[in-house]
Amino acid sequence: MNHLPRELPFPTARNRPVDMLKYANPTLFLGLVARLVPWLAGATAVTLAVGLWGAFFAAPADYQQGETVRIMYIHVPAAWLSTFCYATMTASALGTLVWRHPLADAAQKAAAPIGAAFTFICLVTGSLWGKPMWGTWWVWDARLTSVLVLFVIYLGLIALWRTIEEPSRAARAAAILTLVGVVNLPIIKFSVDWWNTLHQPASVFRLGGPTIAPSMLWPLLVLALGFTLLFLTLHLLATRNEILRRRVRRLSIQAATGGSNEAPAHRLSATGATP
Amino acid sequence: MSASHWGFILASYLVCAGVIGGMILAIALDYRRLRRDLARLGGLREHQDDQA
Repeated sequence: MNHLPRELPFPTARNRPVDMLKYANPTLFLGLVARLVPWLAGATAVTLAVGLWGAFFAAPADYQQGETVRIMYIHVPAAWLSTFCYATMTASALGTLVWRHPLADAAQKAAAPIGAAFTFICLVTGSLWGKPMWGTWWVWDARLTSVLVLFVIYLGLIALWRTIEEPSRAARAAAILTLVGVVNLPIIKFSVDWWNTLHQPASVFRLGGPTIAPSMLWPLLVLALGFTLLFLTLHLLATRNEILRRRVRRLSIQAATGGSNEAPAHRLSATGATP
Repeated sequence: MSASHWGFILASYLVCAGVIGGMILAIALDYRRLRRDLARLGGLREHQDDQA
């Protein structure tokens, strides 16, 4: 059982390094989630509402694409989140392989379905945008194909976790696959520069500043912030579920073995149990 | 600009809302099932203490 203090103050400039490490403890993390999620959910709702209002009522239609440009306000944030989520998983994979931290594995596993969902939104909205603008639902161009590869990697990781029964082996295998797959992120980012693609080049994060008009840029950035807050909220909740799933597994093992702790110590650690 | 393009815009936002709504629902239902399992195994008190 855990004997660490349950009430922790929010970090201050003076105690931040120590307290942030304490929050990496699964038990303390659950308390942090319970306190943070209502605020994050509220901020997400407000930000998305402002962003959607801006996208539909404040931003003008594009001089070439007309009203169809409004698809951009969900397509682009979903695309950013699909890679941001994978970057989060990469950091968690390092936490699993280098420090063998149980929370890192739980965070990585929880992020995969969310990342897959954002990538799916990106692919579908891109296709729905491409049909009226390019005249086709899909082309095998470098940007589209590399994002599709990212989606397949997400599905592969989810399948890997479901296939390997032993949690610590599944965590190691998924972490290695995640680190291998990270090579796809720069390919996605620079595919429009390295190859001649139908997809347009970067127009926001580029040297020389954004090329998009400010009246269209601010709703895009607000919605990107809203999507990021949504990801953080869902990721915290999904990580909490993952910790609880491991507790259920630990308790099931204890119940099956008549209350004795026969599972190896490293496995108990990986199931969210605290010393 | 063809009016028919509003169909593509509407479809995009509906897909986005559907996927995000599905994610939220899946996480909420998963949490409910886990709490039920924890209660059955006697670990719910520990979880409630963690959230306090």
